[in-house]
Amino acid sequence: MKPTTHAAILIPTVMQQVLLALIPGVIIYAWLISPLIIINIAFCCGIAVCAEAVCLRCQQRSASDALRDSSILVAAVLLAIAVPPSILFWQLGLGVVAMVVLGKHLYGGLGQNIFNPAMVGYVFLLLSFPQSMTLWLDATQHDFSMFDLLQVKCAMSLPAQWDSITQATPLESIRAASLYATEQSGELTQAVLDEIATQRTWPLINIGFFLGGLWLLYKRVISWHIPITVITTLFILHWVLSITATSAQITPTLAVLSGATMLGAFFVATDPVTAATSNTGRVIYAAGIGFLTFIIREWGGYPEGFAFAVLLMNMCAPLIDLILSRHATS
Amino acid sequence: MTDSNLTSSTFRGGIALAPNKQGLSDPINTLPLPPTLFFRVSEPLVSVGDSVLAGQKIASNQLASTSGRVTRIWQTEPMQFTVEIEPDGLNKLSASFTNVSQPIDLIKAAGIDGLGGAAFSCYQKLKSQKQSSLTTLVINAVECEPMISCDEALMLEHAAQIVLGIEVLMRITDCKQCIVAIEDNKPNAIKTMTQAIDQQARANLKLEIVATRYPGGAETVLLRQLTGAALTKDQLPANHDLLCFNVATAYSVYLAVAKKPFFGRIVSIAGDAANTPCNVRAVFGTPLPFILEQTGNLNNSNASIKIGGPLSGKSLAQHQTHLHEQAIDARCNAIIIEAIQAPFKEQACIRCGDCADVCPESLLPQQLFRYRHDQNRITQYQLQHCIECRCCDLVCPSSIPLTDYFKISKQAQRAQQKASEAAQLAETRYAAREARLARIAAARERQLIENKRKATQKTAPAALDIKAALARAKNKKNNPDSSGDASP
Repeated sequence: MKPTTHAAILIPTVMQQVLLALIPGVIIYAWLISPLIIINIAFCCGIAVCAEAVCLRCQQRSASDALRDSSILVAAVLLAIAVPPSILFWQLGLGVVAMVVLGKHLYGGLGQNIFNPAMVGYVFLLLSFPQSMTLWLDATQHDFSMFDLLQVKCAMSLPAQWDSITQATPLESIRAASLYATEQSGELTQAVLDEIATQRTWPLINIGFFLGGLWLLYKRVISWHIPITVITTLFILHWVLSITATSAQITPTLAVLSGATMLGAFFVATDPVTAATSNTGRVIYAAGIGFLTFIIREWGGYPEGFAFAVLLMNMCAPLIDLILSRHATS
Repeated sequence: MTDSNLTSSTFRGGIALAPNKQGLSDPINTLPLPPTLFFRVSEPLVSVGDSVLAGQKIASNQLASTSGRVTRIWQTEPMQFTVEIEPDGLNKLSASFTNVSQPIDLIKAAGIDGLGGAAFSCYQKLKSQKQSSLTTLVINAVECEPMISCDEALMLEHAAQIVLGIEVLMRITDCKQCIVAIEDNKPNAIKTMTQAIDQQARANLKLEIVATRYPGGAETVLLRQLTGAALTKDQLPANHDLLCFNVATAYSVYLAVAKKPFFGRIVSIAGDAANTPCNVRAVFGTPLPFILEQTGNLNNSNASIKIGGPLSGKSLAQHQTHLHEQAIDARCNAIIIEAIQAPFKEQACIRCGDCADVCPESLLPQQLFRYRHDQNRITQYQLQHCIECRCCDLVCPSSIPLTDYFKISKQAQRAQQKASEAAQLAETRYAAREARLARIAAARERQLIENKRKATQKTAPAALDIKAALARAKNKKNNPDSSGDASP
């Protein structure tokens, strides 16, 4: 129905829609990787709300009003999805506090932050606890019950024998294989790629988030500019690489369906606060994210570059706006 | 959301709002004369007890809308007076109207103000056009704001007279063609207007149908979508060889030229809390409560009343005066009665950019809001082009009343401009005074020197004589026969 005098989708509604859109991806994740994600999401939300309430109290602002916009819940859920499910609770808790305090409230709260809070929390954890942040338990190689895992998550450190029962995400497998290949002066073998191609876990999770993203586009909660540009840029760069490189490469389709691509493109990069404001600016911003993600994935020291790419482009967003507005006004 | 096939032109930005036009099923009622009329003027030209005639000037820019007696004048604000007139019911016309016969003089005598919202004097607009080479006259019948239906009601009932009024305007301005713009959600008005135009058989008068999209009827937006003319703030439509009148103004022109002037307008009464939405014809100065009472809309105790449209109007709480002194003027196209809603709570801007997408003037409201205290920045972001349509308010997910902030910024801008102009004036005055003082001082100095010189000139010969005489006397005394000895 067309509105008569109020056409806005209010912030709480926006945030609720985003949370709803995350559901399919999270369900597939919980099914295929670990139901621990549900516990992590609940844990993150709880800590985030408490941390935000404390921050608001310190600023002598009404906690109930700011919490009602539920933007911090979206950030908390995104962080919980981005980290490995087996991460220890105390580490995750620290990450959430870093997200709320460093990522949001040090800048003045909603609408004032330069960096995407969820990615600030993620990078904080990645730099502080590299071991926990790169450990993905392989469900096929252990028979821990949920209770055992929860007990481990409550501990102060990870058990030593866990190294043998982990699996890598496809991006990590490729990284490991290619590092190995360069050391051995050989090439990334087709066999590794074939093996990766048979794995359905991450593509399925990405498809889940993709569907949620499409729903957000349909609901006009987000505009197409950022997600489509990110995915297109990544796809084109991987395609160019696959036809120019002499060695075997991951296919472009698999590249855009691996790692955090869909989650990042539809749910992280689209955060309006930290993105450029004009549509042209958004396309530039999103192309930058795609480009940096590709560079870090291919040649950087980390298997997943999305968080870094987003943070780097967050820094550029005000500049993009300034340059484009000069064009507009002069 | 499907667009109609009729759509011929549209524009960038804006919002498709539900038109929600009410009260079009009944004919326009003419209200009886109220017991008292109120006029807000800056400088009254009449005093208490005076008799006034319809069309007589009671202030520099205000005519009495009917004949009667001035019963009260009081100050409501600094430089703002209210004149109360008691109509005698005779509606006798002033001689200033009956003595003239030329159309332009009749328009001037009828004191027609634009009825589209800005209320700019129609005569002034026509007079300033006289010399220029006008090509197109645009008649604005878009009426894009929701709930307002006074122009549509007028077109349904008086299309023929409107077209005659347009003809008068065309003849006065001597323009080559005329475009009547109507939104595509008014098929009945389009029908009546087409019939009326066909009857006149004027080839250079055509109807243009525009998409139903708010604010398509704003002058700058309409002219841009019809002709592509991009008006800047310091330009008038005439700079692009255009002239724009509201359709109701054309009707008033017809009435004036037909020598049956009506000093009033049609007002829409609408809103979700209006008991009987309708369009009524009321003379200027009719108090609001009288209209509400006559139309059966007075008993809404828990409703908010807005004068003007639901978007462009002002809620009564914002007005300085009380409800019973609030009266109809040329700007008042609607009275909107709405149920009081809890206002949306304003939150921080999340820079979503939705406001920039809907801005019909292609401004960046989020930047204007962010830099609202920085006069240089907001000028750079062209705040002066904001037409205050409130599209950005409507789509803001943080419910920020952006337009209210912009109005405040504009006020500050104006105040600053005034202050800097005053400072400049003071500076030039000071410089002039200094120069004048210096001039006077120099002149005095010169005079002094002159006087001194004159004095010395006068006294010097005398002094010399004395000296010479003294010297001679001395010489004589020392050697009395020197004159004989000196030249042997």
